[in-house]
Parts: sequence; C-alpha cells; structure tokens
Amino acid sequence: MKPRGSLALVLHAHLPFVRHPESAAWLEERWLFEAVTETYLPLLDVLEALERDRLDVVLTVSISPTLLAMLTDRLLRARYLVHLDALVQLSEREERRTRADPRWHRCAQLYLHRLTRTRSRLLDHWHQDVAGAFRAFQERGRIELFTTAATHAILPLLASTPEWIRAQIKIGMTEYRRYFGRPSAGFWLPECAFDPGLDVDLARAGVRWVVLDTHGLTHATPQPVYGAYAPVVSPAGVAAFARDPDSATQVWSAQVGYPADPWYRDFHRDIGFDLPAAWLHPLTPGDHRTPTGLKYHRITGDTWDKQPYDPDRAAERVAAHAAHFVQSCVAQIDWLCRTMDRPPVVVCPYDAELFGHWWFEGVEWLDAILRRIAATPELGTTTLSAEIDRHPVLQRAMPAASTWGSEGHHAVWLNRENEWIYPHLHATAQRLTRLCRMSRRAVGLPARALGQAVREMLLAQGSDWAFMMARRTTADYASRRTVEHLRACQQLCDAVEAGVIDEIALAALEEHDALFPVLDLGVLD
Amino acid sequence: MGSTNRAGTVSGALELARDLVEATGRRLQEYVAPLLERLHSLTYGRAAATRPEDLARDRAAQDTEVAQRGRLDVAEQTTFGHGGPPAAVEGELPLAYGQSRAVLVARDPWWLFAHWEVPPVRRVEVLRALGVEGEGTREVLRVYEVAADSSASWDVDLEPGAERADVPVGRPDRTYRVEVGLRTPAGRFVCLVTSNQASTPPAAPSRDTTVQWVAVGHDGRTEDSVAAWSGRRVPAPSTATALEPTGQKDVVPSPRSSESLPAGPGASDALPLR
Repeated sequence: MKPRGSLALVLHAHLPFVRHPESAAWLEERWLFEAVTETYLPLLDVLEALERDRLDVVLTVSISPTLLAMLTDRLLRARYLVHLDALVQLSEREERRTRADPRWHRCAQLYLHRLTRTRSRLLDHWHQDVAGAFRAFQERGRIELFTTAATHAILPLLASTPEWIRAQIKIGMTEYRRYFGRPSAGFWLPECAFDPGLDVDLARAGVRWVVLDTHGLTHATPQPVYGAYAPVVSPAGVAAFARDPDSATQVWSAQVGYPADPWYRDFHRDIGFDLPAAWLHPLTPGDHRTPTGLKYHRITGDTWDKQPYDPDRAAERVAAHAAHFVQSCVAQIDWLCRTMDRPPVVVCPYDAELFGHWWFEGVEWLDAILRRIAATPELGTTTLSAEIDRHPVLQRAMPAASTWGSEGHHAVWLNRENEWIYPHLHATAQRLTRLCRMSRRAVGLPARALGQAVREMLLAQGSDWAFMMARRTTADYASRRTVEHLRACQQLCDAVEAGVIDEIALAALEEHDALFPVLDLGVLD
Repeated sequence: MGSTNRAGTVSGALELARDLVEATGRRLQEYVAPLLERLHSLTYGRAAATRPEDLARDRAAQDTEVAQRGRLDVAEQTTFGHGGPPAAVEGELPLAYGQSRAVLVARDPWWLFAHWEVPPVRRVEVLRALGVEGEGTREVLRVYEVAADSSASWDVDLEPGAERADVPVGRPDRTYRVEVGLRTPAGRFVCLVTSNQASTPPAAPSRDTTVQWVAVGHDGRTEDSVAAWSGRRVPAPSTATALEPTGQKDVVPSPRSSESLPAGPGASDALPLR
C-alpha cells in the first residue's frame, strides 16, 4: 500500500560555541558533554538499530556549524572523555551505595549500564567521531543532514547590516560542504526566523528549502491552498515547509505534552543537589552545586514530593505515547486527504537536545514512533529534499515574517532583558564591514586579525546569548560572552586601523575562539 | 466650537472634528486631517474592495478609527531604554560609537523597536541653526507609517538620554520609518537621524487568494506550471487538545479559525532548552 501522506521528522542539533582552553573548570562546556551523552550518541544507536532491522524510515537532521566545530575539536573531545570517565565512576559508586534500597538501586543500575555502554560505544564503535557517524548515516541514505547560520544568528534581526546575513548563510553553507563533502540542500533558519526578502539571500547561497513555524505559511501571501501541509515556493525560488502545530504541542509543551507525563523522569531533581559534595567529586567542583545527569525521581506531578523513578512504568508510557502520536498522524493524514489532492506532509521539527537530555525517554519515543510508522502502510516518512523531489510543483507564495519563539515573533530575543545588545552589535558589525572592504588586499597579520575579528563578530551574533538573557538562565555568562566577543572584535579593529597588531594576543584569541578555519574576508563584500 | 446638535449626524460629527482640529493647533492637524479625509471617503460611499490590489486601501480605511485611537495612546505606552549591559559587564563596552544611526525593527505585528545614536555635534549644529527658535525644543521620535495611501505620522516625546524605544503601533502588516529629531515650541521639526523602514508582520491569513503553481528544479530554478488542483483549500490548522492516548480515531481535533496567531508553544520556551 502506498502511503497516503508523510511525516517529516526534523531534528535541529545546535549548541552555542563554548570552549575554554584556559581552564577545564567552565561548567558551560558540559552543555556539549551532556548533549553527546544523552542525545547524540543515543540517537546514533537508534539510527543504527533501525538500519540493522532494515526499516524504511528516514529523518532530516541539522547540525549547526558551532556544534560541528565542537564535535570535531580535539580539546573538547579529550575533555569529554575525562567527564564521561568521572560519570562512569560516580555511577559505579552510586550502584554500590544504593544496593540496600531497591527504590533507588534500580535507577542507579540503569545509569551504570547506560554510561558504561555509552563509553564503550564512543571509543570502540564510533571512535570518538560523533559528527563522522552522522555523516556516514547520510552517505548510506538513512538521514538527510543540513546546515544553519554560522553561529545561529537570528537573521531578520541583522537586517540593518545585510552583509552579515549573507555572511551567516554563506559560512554555514561553506562549513557544511567542507565537512560533509556536498552542498546542503536545506537551511535551518535559527529559531525559524524568517522575513520576506531573506529568500533572495538564501537562494543565492544555493538553499533549496527552509522550515518555518506554522504561521509563516498560513499567513503567507497569497494564502497557501494546502495550509501548513505542503511547502510553498518563495518568489526567489526557496521552498518553505511549515511546522505542524498539533505534533508541536504534543511534544513541546511542558504542561500538556508527552514529556510532562508524571511517570517520566524529572529533569530538575538531580543527585548533584542531593548528595554531599565530596561524594560527587570531581563532578561538582568545590561547594558549587551542579547537576550530574543522575536523576532518580519521576515528575510525579506539580509537587516537590517527587517519587522514585520507575523505568518499567516509563517504558509503558513511551509505548503509549508513541502509539498515540502515530495514531494521531494517521487520523490527521486521513482528515487532510479528504481535502487535499496531493499527499500531505506533516512536518515535525524539534530541537534535537529535547530528546534524551530534557525528555529522558525522548530517544526511546523517537525509536518507537519510527518503528510504528514502518509498520503503518498508510503513513510514510520523508526527508524534506525527498518531499520536494517527489512533488516538485508548488504554490508560489511569500511566507510571512515569523519565528517559532513565544508569541511567534521576536519577543524572546528582543525584550527589556537583552535589547541593550543590538546597538553594540549593529555599530560593531558596521565598523568591521567597512574595515574589511577597505582591506581587501590585506595579507599576513592584518588579514589574520580581520579574520579573527569576523569570527568574534559572528560569535557575538548567536541567538543563544539573547535567549539566555531573556530566560535569566546563565544570563551572566551570556552577557559576558556577548561583551567579550564584541570587545575582542573592537580591539582587533583598533589594532588594524592603527597598524599595530599584537601577534601574541591575536594568537591567543585564535586559539580560544577556534572555529571556521576557512574564512574568506570577501564574505562581507 | 460648534453647536451641540451637530454631533447627531455623521456630517455634523465631521464638521465638529474639523473645528477641533483648528482649535488644537498644527501638530494635531498634521495627523488628524488625513484621517478625516479617509473617514470622509469611507462615510460617503466608497464601494467595498474585493480585488487583492484593493485590499491595502480597503484595510487602511477600516483601520482609521483604530489608528486614531492607538496613536493617542502611543506616547503613554512607549517605553525607553537607556544605557548598556547589566551590572556584571557594565562599562566594558563604549557608551557611544560616534555614528549617526537609527535602526528600526518590527518586533511583532504590533510593536516596533528602535535604537539610535546622534553625535552631540549634530545636535549643537541644529540648535545653532535654529537660533532663538530653538529655545525650548524637545527631542522626539517621529513615527511615519509608510504607504502609498498614507502620510500619517506622530511624535513620541523622548525621555532625556533615551537611546532606544519600544513603540506600540498596533497595526500588523504595515511599513514604518522613524526619525529622531528636535521639535520647536512652534511645532517645527528638524530631523537628526532617519531610520530604515521596517514592516510589521501580518497577524492573520492573507486575503489574497490567487493561486500560481511553479515547478522547482534541483538547481533551484522555477518554471510556471499547471497543477491538478481540485480547488479545495485546507482549513487553517488546529491546535492539539487531546494529548492523552485515547485509543480513538478522532483524536485530531477539527480545524478552528486561525484569526489569531497560533499560540503553540515556542521551541525555546516550552522547556528551558539550551
């Protein structure tokens, strides 16, 4: 039976560039370590199992250039291994400590088993090359990988310096091609942020398709006849898919979505806050409390009195939620087919780190829904490029300005907490653009200084900092990173203009913010 | 002022409003008069537009009253930003860049965000040129609605030292520009710096229902095409309400009107990702 419609699962893997060669004490580096342990490696295991079982299902996965830079960085790889070793040792101690108490011992055993396996798979199977493993799955046709903006800048918020929009797109495309050996057909718009006109720059860079939030398409002009369930093509020739609002709510909502089920593991309760610091050493430095990733409680409900986590009950909920999701998709496709004269595509984009890291059972849920879809003849999976190849005739429409953030626009990244950054970003970018254009023939030290200034500017533009300031989570770190990159950029501009470049200081910056090794200053022309 | 019973009819109300304009001076006239013109044309029988090319004009007329009300509220609702980074990193970035710039961004369908810098020397030059007339000038943000059929603008008095502002405009799918300038007590406005244009996003589906099909090639080229479209439109998407497994086929809710923005949780705020 031919599928009546398709589900396009899109996972967006991104973390901001965090690398502190000067000290291993920066806890923010653990964002990467946690994502590798809890999301990326488990996801690779799922892909491998699906392939081994010869299931005809596919995914579309974006890997941001900053994440790619960190996954391929030697220093961070080495530090990750040290961190993972410490976690394995802690889980061994925990397994022994909890033997007398079955409420916690089952959980401790679970972590010991998982972490030991993760370590051996990382070393013996994936050979510490996470990005390379994703690349291999793409080469075997199991997934489609795609890129995003160089440092995940919200492109419409750079509208006053359009050359930086083009630079963010071009460097993102270049980095992808450099590592994956082929052009990226798709482009993940950071935070799904789109503005009419952006399609021109995307088309010029060779982008075939993007993903928007629902209202990016439902508010497009003219009104798309298929709503959010078929892509449209912009006047410049870029296809735009829309997020399906139903599946978004089911998976994203912290209040009513699947991850809020009381039997699922609680994210916030962590032994890093419950046990003595000495016991947790070296994972909690000094008296500073930090999560370890070992969490023994379930969500339970809206209460502080959390109950012990029961992996078996959680697994039952995973199966039930996977069944519900697929059943809902089938019903949705059935309903859409009553109106549509082409097979609908239901696009489900999620941050990859939701699965496994925030929603502990999320990777198992992904595995379960993909296996169910494989056994559901009326429903197929598709990558976004394959969808356009199969149905290349699209309605022409200009998508509407939109993001997938709260309220559907820029409220998260442009508010009282973070709006102070924009005058500085604008002024510094404008100055650097002018300087690069005046220094087209720069070679040697000035060229290096300008190249590093561009890296610093790009790093300051990342959406993550404004997001953290808005959420007041690690806001000080986000403010400091923004200011440090801006200052570094301004100081390099000063040095180039004065013709006095401190090579030692430049080399230190190059070592610290080491990404985008192939950087052409002409990117700002 | 006019007699009391003039307000009892539409034409009487218009006369009364004109009297008000004359009485309240030049600044008010600048923005109320064009609105009255529009209100007049709306009142005296312009046919409802249905073609896509007429929609903008039609919408402008419908919004007249809202615009007038919203504009009067703007000065109270606008909020200003001062200074730079939070305390943790205060003083580590320049207070000013010596640039003459104004940048305008549409934050959402109803709000603009503007930031600007005016080199002090520019202010001094303008005040010197104004001479005596410049005494008692106020620094204002003049907001222009940019449209073929509109010359509407209004002023927001700036707080001393303000260098950015959140400006409510209350109108989706419009294009705006701002100027930072000085307004003399006599109402003369001298621009110090002009911004780029920014358009507020639409907040509802487009009323343009034309359909054109194109074939998309691998190389990104497009060609006009004819699609076998049945002519039926997919209703606006719904938001999931049945989230618990029910074992029933009808868990997908029937579509609802999408007059407002989808209120689905944003990726970045439902769970504290990253």
